[in-house]
Parts: sequence; C-alpha cells; structure tokens
Amino acid sequence: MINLPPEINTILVVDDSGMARLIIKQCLEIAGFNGRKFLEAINGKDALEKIAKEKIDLVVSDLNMPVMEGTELLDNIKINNEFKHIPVIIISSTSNPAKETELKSHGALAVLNKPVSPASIHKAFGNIK
Amino acid sequence: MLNDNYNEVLRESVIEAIESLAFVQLIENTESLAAKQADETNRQTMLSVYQSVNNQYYLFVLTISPKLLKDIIINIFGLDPEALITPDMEKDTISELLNTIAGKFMRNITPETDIFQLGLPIPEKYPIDITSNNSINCSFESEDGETIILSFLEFSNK
Repeated sequence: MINLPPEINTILVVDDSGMARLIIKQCLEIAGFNGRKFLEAINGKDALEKIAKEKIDLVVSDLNMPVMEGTELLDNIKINNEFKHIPVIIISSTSNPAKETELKSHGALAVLNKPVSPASIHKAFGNIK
Repeated sequence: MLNDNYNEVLRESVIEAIESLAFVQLIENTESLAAKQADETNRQTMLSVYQSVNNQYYLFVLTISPKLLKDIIINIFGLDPEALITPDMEKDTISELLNTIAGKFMRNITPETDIFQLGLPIPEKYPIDITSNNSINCSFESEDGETIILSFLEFSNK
C-alpha cells in the first residue's frame, strides 16, 4: 500500500484524451477523492503552466501525449525545488513492471495501468479520507 | 510467423477494454470479415504503431461502426441519446479505446523486464493490407449487431 500525503485538496489530471480525463476523475472520486477540486491539462506543458499558477496537491498523468509526454513532465516537476514535493501518479497503457521501475526512479509515487478503475486505485492506496 | 497465443490475447484485450471502459458487451462475430468490411468507407478507423525493444513492430487498426461508436461515447460521457457527438469526441474516444486495447496486448506479450513504446493514434481509412500471414483480424458485434474490428499486423524493422 502506498501512502498519500494527508492534505490533498486540488488534483491535476493530465491526459490528451478528454475521455480519459473524465474516466480518471470519476474513478478518483469513487475511490475516495470526492469533494476535491479537479483541474485538467492536455499535455505536460499545459500541466506545468497550471502547476505554476495554482497550488496542486497531486498530479495524475498519462505518459503518451503530444507536445510534452508524461516522463518529461515528471522530470520537470521533480527537478524543480518549488514543485518536487508534489506526488505524481502515472496512469498509462504502456506501463509494465520494467516501466514502473523506470518511472519510480524518476520520482513517480505510483504507476497504474489503463483502463484505471476505482478498485485499482483503492488497491494501490487503500482507504482515502 | 505469428505467435499462436496472439489471437486469443487480442480478443481478450478487445472484450475487456470495451466492457470496462464503455460497459458494452461484445460477442465474437463468426461471419466472414470480407462481408463485414463491404461498407468500410462509412466506418471510423484509427491506427497506431507500437515498438518493442527487439525491433519488432506491431500495427493495430480499430474499425468501428458509427452507431456503436456513438453508443460508447454516450455511455462513457453519460450523454442524452440525442446529444450531438462531435468529430473530436469520436477521434478522442476511438484513440483511447485503441491505446487501451493495444496496451493490454503489449503488456501481455512483452517480458516484464522489457519496456515497450507506443505511437499516437492516427486517423485513417483502410490504411493497410491486412491479408498477409502476419495479420490477425478480430471481429465482434454488440447486442444491436453493430460491428467492431481489430486488425493487427506484426512486422520487423531488421
């Protein structure tokens, strides 16, 4: 089970697919993140711009996106002293054990497979309050 | 020569992805694929290339009837049945379905110690010759008789 920070009020969902962003948001809400503020970004560059403007407590990102993909976003967050504390969860079609190890070495908190479900989020993080 | 397990893994990947994302149950289509492709010009297609670490390439093409695509979008977005479906919503949805299906397949056939890549899906009509020995076609129908076809081609870049 992976521990999340106690105070998560604003969650940034990053995916170039509007359908994926909707599904991820709904799964997070059902898994226990209901009542939080959700922001959306369509790629890594868009996400970095939103992180610079708003206080983000959790980033949930896809990997394969145009303009700036998820690993580059992760690296940009983790090398920035102002933002490196923000936990990043990767949700991707291309994750497998080798990719998970690589992404965690880049600073990802957790790596989940698509299609994501409330059950897979609950399995990774347990009861979310 | 294609791996004997590919056919079964592809079928499972399609059924699991469509059911879990869109809550649409599919049954395998036993009619000839040629008959189903007769009105292909009216169907939505998308393709994507995935590359494994050993220079093997895998091309996936998802072909889906407009009616089934609309039903899937309505289910996922919780829309009114008469709601306007935009071309962007169609492209977005079919791309995500294809990526999820292809990702499930690649995860299944790729050794846990290897990393695989994926390309961004590209909208095309009738993009490849899928009659070669290195191709597989999986055809399914919804309860309403609407068709979805996944075509798969393996090739080497050596």
